[in-house]
Amino acid sequence: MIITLIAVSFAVFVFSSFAEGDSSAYILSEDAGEDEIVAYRDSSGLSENTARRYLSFLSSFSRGDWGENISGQSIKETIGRRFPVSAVLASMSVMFSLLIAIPLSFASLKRGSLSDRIVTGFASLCASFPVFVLSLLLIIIFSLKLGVFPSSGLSRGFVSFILPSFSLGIVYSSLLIRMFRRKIREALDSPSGFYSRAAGLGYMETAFAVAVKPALPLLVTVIGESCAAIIGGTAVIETVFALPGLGSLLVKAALERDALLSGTIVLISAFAVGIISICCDIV
Amino acid sequence: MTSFLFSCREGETGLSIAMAQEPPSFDVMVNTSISGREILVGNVFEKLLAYDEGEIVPLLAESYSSEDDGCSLRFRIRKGVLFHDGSPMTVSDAVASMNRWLSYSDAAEKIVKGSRFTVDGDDIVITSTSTLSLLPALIATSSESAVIFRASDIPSDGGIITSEIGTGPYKVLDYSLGEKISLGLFDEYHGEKPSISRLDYYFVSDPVTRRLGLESGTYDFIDTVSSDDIPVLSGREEVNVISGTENGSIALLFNKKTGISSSHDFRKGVSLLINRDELMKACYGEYGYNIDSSYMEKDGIWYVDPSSDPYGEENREKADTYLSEYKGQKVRILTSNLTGLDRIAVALFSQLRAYGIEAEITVLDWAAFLERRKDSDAWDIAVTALTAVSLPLDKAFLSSDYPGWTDSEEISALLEEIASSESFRAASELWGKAQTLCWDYIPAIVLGHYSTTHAVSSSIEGVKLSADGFDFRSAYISE
Repeated sequence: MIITLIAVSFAVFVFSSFAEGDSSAYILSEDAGEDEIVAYRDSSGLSENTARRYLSFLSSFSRGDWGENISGQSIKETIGRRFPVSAVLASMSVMFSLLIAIPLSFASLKRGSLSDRIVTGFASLCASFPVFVLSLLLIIIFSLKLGVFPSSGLSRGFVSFILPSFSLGIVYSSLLIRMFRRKIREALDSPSGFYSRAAGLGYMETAFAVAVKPALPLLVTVIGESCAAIIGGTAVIETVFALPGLGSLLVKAALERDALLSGTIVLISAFAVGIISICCDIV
Repeated sequence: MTSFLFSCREGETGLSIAMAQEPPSFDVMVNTSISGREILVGNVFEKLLAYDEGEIVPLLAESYSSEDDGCSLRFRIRKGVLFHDGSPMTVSDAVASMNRWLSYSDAAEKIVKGSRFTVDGDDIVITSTSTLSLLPALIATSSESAVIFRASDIPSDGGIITSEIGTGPYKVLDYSLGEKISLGLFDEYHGEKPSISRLDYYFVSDPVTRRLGLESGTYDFIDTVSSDDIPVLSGREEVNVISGTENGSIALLFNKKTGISSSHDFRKGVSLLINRDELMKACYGEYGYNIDSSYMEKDGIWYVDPSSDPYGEENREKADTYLSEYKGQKVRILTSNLTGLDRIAVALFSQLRAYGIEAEITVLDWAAFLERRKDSDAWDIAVTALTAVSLPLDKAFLSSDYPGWTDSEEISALLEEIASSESFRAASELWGKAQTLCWDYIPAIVLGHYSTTHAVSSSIEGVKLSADGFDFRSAYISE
């Protein structure tokens, strides 16, 4: 995992450093003279070579000194504020995706049935529907028309997470439905499933008796992958709902050529994904 | 760490404002970003002089006077002004801040010609070899804000200021990078305190999110309403849509160093060929701009009537006399995806191709665009936005160093004369001549000027609009 973390952060740091332009474009005015730009680059360390800057970054990171971003704000403090937002968003999204996917999977086990067709259509729609369009629709209905949830920001604490995580949860539930339902059907079609049905158990009882346990490892794996995807894909949701999470911060850091901030965020995110993968493997 | 899970909406006597952009840093002296001026200048940081309803008024200076036939300016620094940390503002803070500002402001440097402020008792003084009549106006209105920082906050290595400590009526309560800045009243403020006790500026980049936030009551004021949302919000009783003054322009910069745009005939031809309204509409839709080739904004004293621009109106026949030999040649258009500039580039591309001139567009993000623009071999026309400036001396594209590489001795000579003018009237007349020369030389085509539309809850009154955007220092919540 350590090698992966180093490789990922190196890639982000280097690509950020070699991209055309640097943070002087954002910090200084558009008509800043060459003298001002050189002075800024010297004072902020941009004039040092990339390899030295990266090694310095790794060394500081490992000591817990994450430094400051291009506008002088503490990276540790900034990430400390934002990580919980992303963590809550990701966790609630996974929870919603499970709450949607598991009941729908069980309700549509019978191939060719009406419920099978409805749920399959729903899963396809969720997979293809752009998450930002869904988010805006939910805002219009639940914030604007009904006034139940806030449209953006964290002004109402926990309640502020419901719409954004529900949006993400619906989209990721499509993957869960397809994988989970397929696994249960495989178990139902197996000899154990056949014997259970022959012994007089109903479809649903058979499913619970013989299919759930074998399907659980797959479910855990898919949940782990979903977490990783959600952690990496929250930028759009955070932008639509103006949530101060790591996804939108990473986009901002990349656009502003803030190699230190973007490298740190990627390291943290990669570490989180790595931990989740290890936990899923253990389970 | 988890306090946000249980937080409630704060600031019942405050305002929640949704901003389209976040200030790049607290150092409003090195950056002209309008979001920095709207949030920080006047609220957190103040200048020696302010611009109030057409007049230059002392603010952190108690008074100022001109000496030596206008070649010297003396500012008496106001006593009893405290910084937000309780320390007193001194002449040392004033002189350090003003000299730093001079090093960053090209327009100021053209006026002072290397001179610097010095301390003289309770005053700071600057003396030059030529008149400094334009300097007070520049101090009051420069988009590179001449604010007063603590001398100890000014880095000696050319770095940026990261301190939040100023002298303004509001102090910074909290800053969360990429999320919001919260300001609260400074109890020891030296002047009249605003009636709104708290301002929470949220950074909400998506215009639909801002609009929905205003309509649902999450925000009291939203910055930069998109053209499509203006008719919707105008019809809402609980919302007032307000248009700011012109605060910038869109320009086509020509590369006069090399390539097709170095030809004067080509520039004249393009200026006569293009449909300016179509180009501006591509970016702004139906609202928020005026077609006007004058370089300076309409409300100011520097405005020159564009009816005397010989190449300012679409005229295909006349364009053909200049452009026919360029049919089949290629033009390289460079632009950024910032605030819709790429849509203008696409419209320009279409117009050129319709005439028979081949074109290619390169769209880059802002940082890459600024870097690429420095390469004179990489582009012919750059589509860019120019923030409003208080003096024409600040029009960077008139300089030979700025991308575009304007090389006109006559224009440079007139700008030098403007910098040394004895009065605004004299400077304004000189600028009239310079503007006319520019319309002929065509270093750039100013397509038009944009103004930003905002929307506010109808219970909020007294929001002030100016070339520096909006401010709430005179605002109040009506019953």
